[in-house]
This record gives sequence, C-alpha cells and structure tokens, in this order.
Amino acid sequence: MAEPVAPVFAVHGLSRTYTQGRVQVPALTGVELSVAAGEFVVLAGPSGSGKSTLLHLLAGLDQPDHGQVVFAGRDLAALTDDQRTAIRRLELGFVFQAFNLVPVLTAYENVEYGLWLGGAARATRRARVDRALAAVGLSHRAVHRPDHLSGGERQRVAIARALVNDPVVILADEPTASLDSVTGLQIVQLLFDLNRSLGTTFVLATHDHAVMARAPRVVGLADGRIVSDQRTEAR
Amino acid sequence: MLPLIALRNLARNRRRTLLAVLVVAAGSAGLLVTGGFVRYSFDGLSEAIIHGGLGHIEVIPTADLADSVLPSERAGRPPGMDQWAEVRATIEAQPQVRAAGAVIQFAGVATHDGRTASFVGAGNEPDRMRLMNVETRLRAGTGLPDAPPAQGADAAIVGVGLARALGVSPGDTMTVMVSTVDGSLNAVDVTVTGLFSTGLQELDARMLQVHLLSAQRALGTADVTSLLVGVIDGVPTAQVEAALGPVLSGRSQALSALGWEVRAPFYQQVRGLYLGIFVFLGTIVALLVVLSAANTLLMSMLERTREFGMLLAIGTTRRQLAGLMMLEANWLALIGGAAGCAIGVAVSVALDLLRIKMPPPPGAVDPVDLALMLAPGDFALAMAAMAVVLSVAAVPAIVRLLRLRIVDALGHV
Repeated sequence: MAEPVAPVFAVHGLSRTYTQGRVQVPALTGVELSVAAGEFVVLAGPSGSGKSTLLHLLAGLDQPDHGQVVFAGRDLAALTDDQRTAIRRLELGFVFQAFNLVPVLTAYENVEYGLWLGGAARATRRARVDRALAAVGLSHRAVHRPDHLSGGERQRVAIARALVNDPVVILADEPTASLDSVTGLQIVQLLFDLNRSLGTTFVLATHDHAVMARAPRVVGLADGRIVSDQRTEAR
Repeated sequence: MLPLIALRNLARNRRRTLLAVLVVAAGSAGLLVTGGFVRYSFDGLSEAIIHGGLGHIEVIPTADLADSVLPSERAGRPPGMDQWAEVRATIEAQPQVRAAGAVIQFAGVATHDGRTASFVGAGNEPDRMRLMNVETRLRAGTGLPDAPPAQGADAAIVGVGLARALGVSPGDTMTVMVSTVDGSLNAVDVTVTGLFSTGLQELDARMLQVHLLSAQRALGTADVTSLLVGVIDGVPTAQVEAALGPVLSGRSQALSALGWEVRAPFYQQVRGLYLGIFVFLGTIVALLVVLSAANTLLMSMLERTREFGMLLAIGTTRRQLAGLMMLEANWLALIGGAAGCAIGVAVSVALDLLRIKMPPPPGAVDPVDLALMLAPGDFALAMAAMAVVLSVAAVPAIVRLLRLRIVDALGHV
C-alpha cells in the first residue's frame, strides 16, 4: 500500500472526560492519530473504549478537553460552530449504527437532503442522488420510506446520503451493529468497494471481528487509549 | 424541502396533531365568532344611531359648539342657524349626499289630563328624514304628516315612555310648553298621531317629535338648530365630512360639519366596552392555544431528539432546525386556522337560519339578534392571530432545540 500523501485527520494529544454527576469519566486520554487521504481505518475496541467519542471529536460534534483535531489542515477547535457545521455538510459523511434516516422522507429524499442543505440546484441534486443510490444498489427503492425498507437497505440509504456530497471522509459508527451478520458483511464490503472505487477516506468504529479481519488498518482502543495500530495489505 | 418535512412531520402522530388542530380551530373560530358578533353589534348600533335621528353628519353654526359638540349638552341653546334652506340646497347638490333635513332641538314641559312631564323635543322635516333613511320606529298610530301643519293643527309623535308618563295615546291632545327665543313661555296644543321608540328606555321616556314648522312656531323663530345630512350608502362619512368643508366655508355665518361618531358618546362607550371584552377574551383564547400547542410542539421535539441530533450532525444548522419547528407550528396555524374559519362561517350561517334573539342590553328596549358580521379582513386577522400564537407556542421547543448537544442527542433513546 502506498504511503499516505497528506493527512486528512491529524490528532494530537486528544483527551476527553465526561462528567457524570460528581464522577469524572475519562473517555479518551492522549490520543495521537493520523489518517491519510484514501485510507480505510477501523477503530476497534470493546464498548466504552472511546471509539464513538473519537469519531464525534473527529467530526467536530464535540470539543476535546485537551489536544487538537486537525481536519484537512484546519484545527476544528479554532473554527466557529457554523464553520464546523459547514465542514460536516460539505466535507464529511456520516453513517450511524441506527441508520438515523428521516422517517417522513423517501429514500431518494433522505439522500437528497444533504444536497439541499448545500444549496445544490434541482437538476444537480437529481443527478447526484441517482448516482449515489446506484452506487449502493438501491435505485429501485428510491420512492420507499425507511419503514418500508429492510435494515440493510436502510443502511445503504444512509451510506448513499453520506456519499452524495462527494465527501473527503466518511465516518461510520458501528454501521453493522444493527444488522444480521450476512447483511453486515455486505454493507462492509460495500464500504470497502466504495473506498477503492471512489478513493473516499473511511473511518469506521466497530467491535465486529469480521470487519476488523478484512480492514487494511485497525486502530485498537481500550480505556480511551490507542493500544495498537495495525496495517495489512489484505482486504 | 423544510416545509415538506414540516408538513409530513405533522402526520407522524395523527391523533396529537388532530387535537392540536382542533385547539387551534377552536381558538380561531372563537376569535372569529366573537369578532363577528362585536362587528355586528357595532354595525347595528351605528345604524341605529345614524338612522335613529342623528344622521351621518350634522351641519351647525360653529358658535353653537362653544359649549359642547354633544347634542344633549347644547340642547338649551335657541336655534341659531339662519339661511338654512340655502345651505341645505348647497349640501344636497353634493353627489355623495342622499338628502339633508333641518332640525330644531328644544326642550319643555308637556301636560295631559293633569299629568306633567318634561321632554326633549325635535322638530324635523318628515319627508326629508325619510329620504335620509332616518327611521322612526312607530309602536302605535301613524307618523308625522309630511305637509307642514296649518296653524292650530300641530301634531306630535311621542316616545312610548313619555306617553305612559303623560297617559296619552294616538288621537289624544296634549299641551306643550316651551320657552321662545325671546325668553317668554309659549303653550301649544298638539295632537298625538303616534307613539315611537328610540330603542333606548332613557330616550323613550323623554322624546317627542313635531314637524319643523310646529317647532319654529312654538319657539317663535324661523331659524333651525342644524341640518342633518344623510350620506349615500357605501360612501365613508369622513369623506363627505371633508368634502363639505369647502362648501360651507366663506359664508356669513360660520358653519361646522360634525360626523356622527363625535356626537354619539354612547357608541364610543359601547365600542370601548366591547373591544375591551374582545381583547380580554382574545387574550385568554390565545393563552390557551399557546399552552396547548406549546405542549404539542415540545413533545414532538423531544420525541425526535435523536433525529435532530442526526440532522445537526450531517450539517443542518440550528437556524434551519428552528425554522423547521416554526414551520410545523405555522402549518398547524394554517390548517387549524382554516378549519376555524370554516367553523366561523358555519356558525354565522346557522345563526342566520335560527334567528336567535338575545335579551335587550342594559338601557335598551328591544331584544337584539344573535348574529355575526364577518368581513374578509376578519378571516385574515384570525389566521394571522393563529400564526402569531403558534409562533409563540413554538418558542419553548426552539429554545430546547438551540441548546441541544449533538452528542447527547445522538445517544438519546
């Protein structure tokens, strides 16, 4: 595998502690991480290891207590709330464990929503939504609402929604956790394929061993610290 | 896209939305019905005042307004308007004027069969009063004859309360004593041709009307107190009042034109009272709708906390989410407000068909119709009121939304 040319994420000394009542719970401690463009990085670890917290900080959804997250050369903490929102809208894609689709919108409209937020013209939206749905193999289900889709189909819609803006990075938080193993593997394969075909960077949090086994880079977390960072050529 | 999402969101919990719509509909219908009744009451009262003898406009010597513009407070002044026939002709030449009639306001004492009562009298021209649509609500007998009465053949119509006090009925003769413009006393025998009602007990107990010529003879003058002007239907009184200014200027006797509203303090008092009640009731209705809708919108927002977290995570701004909540509130206002307008129309039609009578208001004689007068502007006002009310109701949900931490919202169960 070629060396990364430029880091998409550069994380330095990242710490985050939550307060629960009077108890301080450290979620992340001194995390250092670099993610290059086009990489597929899996954050692995048991529940409570800090995977989701790290994803939230990478996305600028939360603020660290210490350290910094530099995304494409910009320190997220130094940006305004509106600037971070714009980054999430235009440069990042999200895939959630529970799909998190808007239930009152069709598959097509769910995917279109992100483009609408960005102010894209109707014709542009149509072309890109069609392309995104085709990329996840769901063109035939475009007019269906989420409650008429299977779990796997919903997650494909969520992936299409994340893809539609041609983001620099897609962040996925346990994308297979709500799916059966077969569907989960199909989804992961889809993510691998998209990474390969589109060159989009993926950072995926999971404790699914089947996913870890196929990932080119697995960053292990335990108790809020990075305990391993393994790369493999195999996929 | 947000309006579409907002509209579809309302369909998520249909029962709750239906209840909210019903509350809004009840609120807007309440405002519309109350407003329609108030408007009907104002209209009825103003018509009664104008066509009950006050006319749209009164043209009067400016000097006679030195004490007061109210007819009751200048009734003691002797008639002071000369050349009134010429002025009347000039006024009647105006295109927006239906007719003008001369009147004399006077007061005195009437006696009949050993009974005595003070009265407030009006001498007028019955034919012109009819042209002006001034109606005399006769309760017995006939009205004043149009033709000027011959000497010794004076006639009068008497308020029903005054008639009871004097014990007169149509056909009876009573004696009217007045003070002439010279200050001496004059007594005239008049034949009662009819009994009438003004609609107000106070006035019925004191009013009598005679022909203008009878009043002039009794008072010993050729002058009149003023000219009453009737305006063509649909023409604003203020417009004619303004138009009469140049017409009346430059005369040897300075004249003023007064609209009916400034001469009718009773109307202003009733209007103030009704508007006060309307505002009070409207505030209560609005408060109830705000509380109910605020609860609905807050519940709706809390149930979708995770969804809002997701929307923020993928790049929706908080302003856009606040806008979404505001849109949902205003969809409720639009749907509920429209339903309320439909209810208002239905109530109005039903009241027209049922012809329900309300007891006479304090001081009045006749029962009043329970009816509504709905103007197009009322519907717009009711809809606008609901839009404002629902926008206020959305504030708690929006405040909560603006304070939402994305990470907490995404973990919300």
